[in-house]
Amino acid sequence: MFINFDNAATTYPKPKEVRRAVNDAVEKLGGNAGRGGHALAIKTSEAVFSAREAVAEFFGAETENVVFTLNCTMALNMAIKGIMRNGGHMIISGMEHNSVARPAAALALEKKIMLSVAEVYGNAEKTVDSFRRYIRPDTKAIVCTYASNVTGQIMPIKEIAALCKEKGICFIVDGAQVCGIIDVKLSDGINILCVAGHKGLYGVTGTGLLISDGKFKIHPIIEGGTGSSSTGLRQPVFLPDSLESGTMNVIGAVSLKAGTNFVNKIGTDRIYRHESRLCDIFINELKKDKRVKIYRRNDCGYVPIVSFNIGDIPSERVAQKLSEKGFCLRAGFHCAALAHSSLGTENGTVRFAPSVFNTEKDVFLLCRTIKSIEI
Amino acid sequence: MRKCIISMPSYTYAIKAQRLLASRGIECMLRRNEHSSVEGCGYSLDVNGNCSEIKEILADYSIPFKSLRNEVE
Repeated sequence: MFINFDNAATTYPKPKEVRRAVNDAVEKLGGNAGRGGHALAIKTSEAVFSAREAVAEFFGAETENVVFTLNCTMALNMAIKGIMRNGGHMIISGMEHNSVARPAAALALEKKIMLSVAEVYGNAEKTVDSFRRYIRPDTKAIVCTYASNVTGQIMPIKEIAALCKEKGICFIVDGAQVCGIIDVKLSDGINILCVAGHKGLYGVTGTGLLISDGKFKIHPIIEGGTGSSSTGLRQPVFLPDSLESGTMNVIGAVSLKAGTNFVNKIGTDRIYRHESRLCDIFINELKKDKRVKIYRRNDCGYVPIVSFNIGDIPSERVAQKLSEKGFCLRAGFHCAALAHSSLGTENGTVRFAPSVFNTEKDVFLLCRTIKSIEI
Repeated sequence: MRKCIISMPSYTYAIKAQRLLASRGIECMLRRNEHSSVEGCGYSLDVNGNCSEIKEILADYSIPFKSLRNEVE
């Protein structure tokens, strides 16, 4: 028996609606979507289209501009490498996950692009100014996480979007930690939104989304069969086919439809309020323990994630002790070297990340256990 | 009977067009093309009726198509 507080990695448990949809899909959708004209293929294709439509509506996008990927990392790689294919300058924030930092660094090390890293402050205006200072005539894209996977800090996305629009720069957003928790729409000024299907949208692992507003051409990084124009050797140029080569994760797509329906049923407002309340309880309880350091500022907003340390105890040891008591939290560097470097957390942190299924009682029990951990 | 065959660039656009036309009371059958057909590899919509009306509806909603042709059955 365990209680999961590592929902920023992937949400668990999944809603019964998602479990049921996955079960039904495995049982009944045995075709390869977009391939073939027989009844099984068409039935499967229709289910995928229906999922695509549901996601499009959720994010305020056109159906055909929704691309199913394996995860948010794949979506970000496709976006970054697709937009920067012909070189140029790119800016990322100092709080990026490795899914942004690594492909960006790889392109820079290969001298395919020039890269700048903008400092992130608690004050939104200072953060936006930081991005503005790095813009140059050859800046083609700005990539920014909507919220940090380490601290939960929400970035000034609308302000950065306005800056990008003013300068004609493509704005790519990593929505991994916010989608399904706060209301995110392309109309926020995002040109390409990359989403993890298996976190706040409660889809299964192996799902992600790249959602485009259609304003910037995304060159494919994978070519292959698309079920369209098969007699030609050239990759289709239209979405979603240009970015969806090979057999897609049909079960995953169906799970995403069920997951977004679940989120819609509850409402992101309620989800955010519930999970934030759990974070408030967590923080207020841990403040009573003088050993605990909580990594939160007073001058910005947060999604429901809290990073902390207990004195000098290695974060992994804390997480191990919690795991022995039945609490699942992630410790270490959370695949976010840049973020931890910006925070100055040389030994990493323990991360608390509740989901809609966690309760206040779960949190009080966790806090009691944390306070009992000895050096 | 006059039939309009609309060749679509992909399955996604084919079904989007099918649903749009159905909402306008225009029923159509979605089928996989024969690779040797005029339309080539991909999906087509077969609609009973004249292509000009279909073309206008698809254009109004910016749904791309590869080709449209009338066929008399």
